[in-house]
Amino acid sequence: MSSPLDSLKQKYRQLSEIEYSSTDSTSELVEDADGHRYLVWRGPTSWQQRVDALFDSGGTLNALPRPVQRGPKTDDEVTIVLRCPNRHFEPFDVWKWRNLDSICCVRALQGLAKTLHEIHDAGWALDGIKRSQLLYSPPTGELLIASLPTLAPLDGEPETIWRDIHIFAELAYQNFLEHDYPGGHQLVSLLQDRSAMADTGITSPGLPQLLAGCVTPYGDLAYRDVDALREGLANLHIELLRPLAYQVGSRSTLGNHIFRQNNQDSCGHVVVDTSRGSRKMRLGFFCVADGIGGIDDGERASSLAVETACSAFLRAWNHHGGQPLHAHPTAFARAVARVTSQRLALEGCFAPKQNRGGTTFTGLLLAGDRAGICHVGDSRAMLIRDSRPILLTRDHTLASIYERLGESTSGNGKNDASHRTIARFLSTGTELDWRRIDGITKSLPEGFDLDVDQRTLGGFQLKRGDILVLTSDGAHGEVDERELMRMVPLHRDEPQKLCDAIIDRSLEKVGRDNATALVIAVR
Amino acid sequence: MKTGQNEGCLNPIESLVDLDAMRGWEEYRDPALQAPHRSPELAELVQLQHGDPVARYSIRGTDVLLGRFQSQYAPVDVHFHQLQDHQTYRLGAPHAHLRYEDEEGDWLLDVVSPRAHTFIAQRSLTHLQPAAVLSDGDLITLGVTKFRFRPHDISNSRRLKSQKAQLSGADGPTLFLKRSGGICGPHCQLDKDQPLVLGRSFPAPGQLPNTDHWPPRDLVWWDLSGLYDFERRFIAFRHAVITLYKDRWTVAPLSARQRTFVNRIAISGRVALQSGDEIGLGSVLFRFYDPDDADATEEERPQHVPAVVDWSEGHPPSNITPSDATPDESTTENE
Repeated sequence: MSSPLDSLKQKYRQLSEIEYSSTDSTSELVEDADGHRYLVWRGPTSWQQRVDALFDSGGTLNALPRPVQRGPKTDDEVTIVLRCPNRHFEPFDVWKWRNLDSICCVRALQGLAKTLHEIHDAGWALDGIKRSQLLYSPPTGELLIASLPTLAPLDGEPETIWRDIHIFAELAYQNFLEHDYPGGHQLVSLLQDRSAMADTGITSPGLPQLLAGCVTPYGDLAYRDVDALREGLANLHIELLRPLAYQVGSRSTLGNHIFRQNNQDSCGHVVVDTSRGSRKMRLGFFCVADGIGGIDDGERASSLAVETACSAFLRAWNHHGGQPLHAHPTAFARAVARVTSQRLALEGCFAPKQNRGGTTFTGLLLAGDRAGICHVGDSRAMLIRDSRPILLTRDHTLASIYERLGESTSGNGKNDASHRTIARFLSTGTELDWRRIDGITKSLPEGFDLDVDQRTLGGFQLKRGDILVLTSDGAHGEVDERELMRMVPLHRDEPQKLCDAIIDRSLEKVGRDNATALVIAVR
Repeated sequence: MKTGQNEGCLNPIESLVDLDAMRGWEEYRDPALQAPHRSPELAELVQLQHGDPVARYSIRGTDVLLGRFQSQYAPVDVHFHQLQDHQTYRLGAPHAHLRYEDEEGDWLLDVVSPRAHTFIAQRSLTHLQPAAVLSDGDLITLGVTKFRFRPHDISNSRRLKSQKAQLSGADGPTLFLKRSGGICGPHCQLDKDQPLVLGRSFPAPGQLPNTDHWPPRDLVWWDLSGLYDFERRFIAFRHAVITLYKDRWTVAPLSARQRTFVNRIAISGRVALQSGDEIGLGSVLFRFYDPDDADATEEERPQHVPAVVDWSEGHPPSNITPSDATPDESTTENE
């Protein structure tokens, strides 16, 4: 506590001084030898008590640095050292801000508004934030309040609220219009004239509403509290969101092997595309089923599985809405498989003569930007990301059981019958329990790590440019991963063509089985 | 560590997803069917993986068959349902016979499956050898899975008393559910005038597309949908019917796909029952008890061990020892 100010100065290198509104307080951005960035705040004792009260108020205060050290203290002045969340924070630069992607800008403002909301909730007002008092982290797009002005008790006056929030109008304006903020008075008159708005380019949906709420404390449109501001930002955010689109191609063929009399494969998909208000939601379920059993039995089982699965998915969406599906796509995909399994068992029970078969079943559930898998049997789901194939399922074959037992497959290698003997499938005889309906496989390549919850319930995050391929063994048995990866760049933008290429290749090889492929390009 | 029979252990998906809404019809899962077991546990087998306990199985009978369920063979009392595919693959159906000798106070283990491997500690045990006497903490390898045997310090008379108390609660002919070799609580009383159908919830005809030809739901039945997942797997939607026919209680199978057993023998038509008979629906066992039967007894009949089944699936490798028998468990597929 008695460590002199000089030792602090030795430890840190000063980067810049942050502007302060009150004359008796200062804030400096400094860096230590390891490159971590800190703020050093100095102010009168009374001010420090208020700062402490704020940090003790229990909010997450994400847009504030964390106090890490109390510096030297004299009778009437204290120093606090605060650590920045990452080493990229630098004084706010308006040019970088203008070039920031609008959606990142809105997210940054949402983060700032959340902290402001917590400060107001704790009963304090900031007496205004200037952009020169902000730090900005270009890689993460976050904003940090770099100097905490004299905290004043929140009095609930419209002007007090406005003083703290008008910075949002300025920052949003700078980013969306990429030119200088004209000032409050000018903006008020702009917003009252539709043709002036059009000329200036204030046309993004949600933006004029936000500006009108922040620009002046007067009038019916002014935001009365930070809640209203956050709602305005949320609306602006929704307008900017562009959900991932799923482009689908599929093909299933009898094949050209002389002993194949019918196509026992089935595949299917449903895509649901809704807008509730401006809130867009895209969901899809995609599946491949490879029937097993007598001539008709296998075909019936696989087509019944696909029909049941698609309708179960729609029922789930209808009953739960999109949000739970987005949160747990693998849980819902596995539930689809479970319901499908039960439906097949019912069919086998009540019409046993026509339903002696079963089917493999590999399903993919997409909800917005998340994906989940359910898997039983030896069909496959593969994700192709950044030109890298990632197999999401593990075949349930006798060969994989032998592998687990550490036994060899009688020396025939890939041609051994155990590779074609299925160890699990959706049967018309018995229903599968949860333990036998897989989610995403555990053996994922390095760099694509998912924890147990994500593999069995949560699913994984999709990226624009991802390609997902579902295949029956007639397709992946003939066209191996290397061959597939040679086709992908040729048909990256046309899933149907990629599908056709896979099937055509397996026909060229006169494969022994029906071949089915379903390709989804995420864009 | 997971509890024995998944007791009270609901899959997390069931709290996230409304399966009834996804099915388009409602399944009735009677919570009474998952009530805690009412007979005391005499011993337990703790399943190990890399030496760590991963599951436990109760022994609540003095004469039980252990193993897996395969529909062409009769059900076993202790069904190792938490194994992974490759572990199940090397397990017999049944695999071993475990019994308790009251006089000596010994637990004895017989192998009944010649093609599946069994080791006690490092000693191989085959069906040709006499029963092995087990002691507390013995490491038993069944197929490729290791278990630790843990007998409890509970006298058999306490178990008999509990079984008796449950049976004497029966007011007329009753079917009792058995788990782990003992009567566990859930039961259903039979009615002379009404046949009782045993099965699981299913939708009414026409409730799902193209199902007009399905049978209507029965009026009097015991809905077993509420059993644990691993038990109800092999129960048909309409599995069997119990009727009083010419003054005798009879059971008849209704399902072409799932088997019905009486005293662990599969039946293909109507069969008469005696008090004390054991009915098997798929992998699940029930005890039929009729207090009005002149021969009614609260004692259990000794287990009639099936002729040694030359059970095999695939070809077990020769010269296997317990240390080789441990496959690489690091690639566990499931949760």
